[in-house]
Amino acid sequence: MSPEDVSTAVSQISVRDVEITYPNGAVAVEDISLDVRHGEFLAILGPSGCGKSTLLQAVAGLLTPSRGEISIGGKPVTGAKNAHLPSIGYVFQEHRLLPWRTVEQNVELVLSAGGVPKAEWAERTTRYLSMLQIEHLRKRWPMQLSGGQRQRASISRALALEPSVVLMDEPFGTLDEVTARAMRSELLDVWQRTNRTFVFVTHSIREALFLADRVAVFTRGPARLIETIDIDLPRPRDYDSRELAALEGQVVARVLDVWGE
Amino acid sequence: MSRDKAKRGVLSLLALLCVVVGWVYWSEKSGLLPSLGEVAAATPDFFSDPDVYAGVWATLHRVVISVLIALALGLLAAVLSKRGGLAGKVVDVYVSLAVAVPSTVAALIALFIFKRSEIGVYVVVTLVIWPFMVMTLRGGLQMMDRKLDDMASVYRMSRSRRLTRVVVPQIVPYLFAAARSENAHAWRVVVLAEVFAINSGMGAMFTRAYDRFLLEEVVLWIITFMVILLVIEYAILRPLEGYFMRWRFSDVP
Repeated sequence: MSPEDVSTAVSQISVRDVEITYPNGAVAVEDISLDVRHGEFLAILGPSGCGKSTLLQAVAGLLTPSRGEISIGGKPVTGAKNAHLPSIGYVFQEHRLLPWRTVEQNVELVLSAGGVPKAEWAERTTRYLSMLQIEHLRKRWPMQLSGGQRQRASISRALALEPSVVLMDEPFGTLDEVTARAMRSELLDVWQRTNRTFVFVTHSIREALFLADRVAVFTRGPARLIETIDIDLPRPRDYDSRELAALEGQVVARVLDVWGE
Repeated sequence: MSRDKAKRGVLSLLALLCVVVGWVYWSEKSGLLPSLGEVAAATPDFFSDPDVYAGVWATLHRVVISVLIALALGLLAAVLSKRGGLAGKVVDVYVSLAVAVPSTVAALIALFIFKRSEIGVYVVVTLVIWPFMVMTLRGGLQMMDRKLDDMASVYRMSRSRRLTRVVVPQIVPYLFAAARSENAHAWRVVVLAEVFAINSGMGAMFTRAYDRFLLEEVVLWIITFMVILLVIEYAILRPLEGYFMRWRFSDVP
């Protein structure tokens, strides 16, 4: 999608003046407004523990903001009956598969809960497990898989629902660097093939710049939005390219004061 | 894995051998304990007597029902205890009290209260094993993974689906742990109650044999008791647990 298309496309996720407070009264997220366009890959970048994951949880409806509004595809994410809530794919930092169900059963459970007709389960499960290259592992228990394979299963589960948006909370944070690199490239491939809206939370500047169309940079907690950066690097991108390294240097220079101690 | 298994098998055989040697030695010396040969001679008669099976069945029946009642009440109490509040505190007090009651005393009290009724047995056994069930299951509830709740919320799982697919599978290992550890306990208490209070079952038949000084029969009852406990543990509970927990134990094929 070219930048012109993105700017004219409709907003898929809308975050308006959102403030989130923890149960202990501390403010996690302070007055954030953000729009994510349809089909866009947005990265949310911030230092560890800044509240960016908390915002993602609020977008998923897991937390209710103390102020402001969040909607997906025009539907508010909290307060409605299940059937009227937008469908969301969520990839957590840990896989959060049910260990007592096989890979296939984990995907099917989500399809079933999402009201997908049973006749479609087999085809969808096969399609997305194949896309993530773990179709041959569909009968395995999660505990029989490697860390990378589990995360592939978790991503397949999120995509199989064919949701309006896919939210990812540092999904490669626990993987080794080599596996993480392979997964990043594949994730971009999957994103382009599925044409869905992705929101990806990370504390890695290079990861954000490599993946995203746009990067929303947050402050240290309580999180506020510093700026959003359009990443104009052509795709496919090279993780080790000089352009990416240069861009990373610029972003580091810009956030150094705000993120530093 | 298989070497460990072989090692354990050899050790079990050695332990059994020690018991047999001790038995032979003691029966030679005392003249009171029947010898291996005497017991072997009495075995065919013992096991062709239909009353023996009726006794075993009566006891088994009592154990199974008592364990199921205690598991259900134990789960209920564990949930209340985990939730806290007044009900939880009351449960905690009762658990501490019940743990402190010796099985024999419980069996005698039930004899006074329920005379010779069947209900008395269930009450005693449940009272004795219930607190241990509560403690094990409460431990299981405390280990529940809250992160899976978030996953279930994000994917809009209904309450019933969460219960059957997310919550119950997390408690199953603890239900098995509770059933396995309290099964042996329940057998001992049921037999004790039968000795004191009831005219049927293994405990009653054991006492009858003892009173008539039929020592071969006494020994055979002890052996029967041990074999039943081992069969239930190794041929029923462990394989069942292995089946329900296969996701945890399977190696990569």
